[in-house]
Amino acid sequence: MKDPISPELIEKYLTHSLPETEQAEFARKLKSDSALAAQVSDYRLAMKSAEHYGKIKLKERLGKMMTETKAEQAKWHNNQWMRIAAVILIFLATGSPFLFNYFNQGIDYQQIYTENFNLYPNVLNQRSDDVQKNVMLTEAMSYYSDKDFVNAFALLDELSKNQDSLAATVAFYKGICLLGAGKDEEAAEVFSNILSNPDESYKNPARWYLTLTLIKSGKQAEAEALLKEISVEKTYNYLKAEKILEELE
Amino acid sequence: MTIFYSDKRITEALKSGNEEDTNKVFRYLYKTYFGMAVQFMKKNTGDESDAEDVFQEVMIGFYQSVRKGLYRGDSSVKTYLYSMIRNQWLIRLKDRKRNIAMDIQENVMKMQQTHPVENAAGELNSKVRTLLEKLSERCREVLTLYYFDNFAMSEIAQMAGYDNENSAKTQKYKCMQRLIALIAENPDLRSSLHELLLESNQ
Repeated sequence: MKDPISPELIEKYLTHSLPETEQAEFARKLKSDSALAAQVSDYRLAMKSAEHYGKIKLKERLGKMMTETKAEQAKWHNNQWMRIAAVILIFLATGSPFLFNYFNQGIDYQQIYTENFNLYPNVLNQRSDDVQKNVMLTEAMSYYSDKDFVNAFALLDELSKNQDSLAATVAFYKGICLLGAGKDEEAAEVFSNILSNPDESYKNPARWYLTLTLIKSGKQAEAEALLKEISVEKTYNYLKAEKILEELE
Repeated sequence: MTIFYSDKRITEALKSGNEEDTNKVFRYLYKTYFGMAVQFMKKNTGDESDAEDVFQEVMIGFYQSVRKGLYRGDSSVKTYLYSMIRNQWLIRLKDRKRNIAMDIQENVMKMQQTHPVENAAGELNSKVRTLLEKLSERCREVLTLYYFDNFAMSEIAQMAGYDNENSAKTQKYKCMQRLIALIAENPDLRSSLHELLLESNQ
């Protein structure tokens, strides 16, 4: 009975790790022993299959990596173009007031705003019943009168969650606080909302403060449109509106 | 920010067995040398898609060369990859048997056009995958680390969390026995793999 051939020996033969004479001896055995030849063939197939499987997995990994790298490179190129576009836009955005001023003989929007921004009177003090019942509102309006817009807004914002009867009033003063605190976009939104409500009692002053917000932002055309409305309708601060229109023209 | 990898650092990373380091090197090689492959393909009737296929094969080949000690740093990585790209492209053209004229400094070849044979690769991959995925993940790990990545059993024992080298060897032996049995019990698969894997490589 033949001694069984160990897998280690088969592997050594297949990887040419046997000494030369043993390698040759093994090769001779294969020629005369078909069962051994089949065993060695299956072993070789198993080795090659395992190797090829490793190749398949690495190829998948590489394919994924190459796709990700290509996407990163494409994103980088797009970002480069976006950066260039952004630089141009920033230049236009920051430069445009100066350019616009240059061509408009130097209108100082900030100065017009500063000269015309005043606090709307604290009408809530006159509502003695409401104010007495509402310490937070008193505190808020105290901050407002001191032009501490940040703290005033914080308290008013809290109040706006609860005080339904004073909701319109609170919203209006919140808008002024936002404008005073330099949050022009948010202030514009508050005043625009008030204007879009036909029953809103603070519509006229809201229109005035919205105009100031637009002037502060350098949006002359939009500001002029509202100033003309105020002037024609002779509503809140119409004399100031007419004066500003002259300055802008 | 692109980090520079010296040739030495590239080979050390590929030998390390650390997947993260290996991935970083592959990314670096792709970013640095893929353009070279594209240029070569376009000069020799190929296109970017060919360059991608070839470059992938070259990266695999280069990885195995490093792992098996075939690349010893006698030439630069760039030169080595370039020669692999060229050889890989020649093999593909021979397989496809296109009618082209190829102008590569010392070589000018002309071949007759017949139909390309590319389905064999897909068929082989499918059969090998089906076969190996009948084994446990542990078996696949040990066998590919040994036969593809060319790690020593002592290294595999450490990487795969075996108690010692002998445990890893025993596991490898059992996995090979299982794989051989799977091949033996399916004569059609066996002859198909024989044709695709062994005869085509001779």
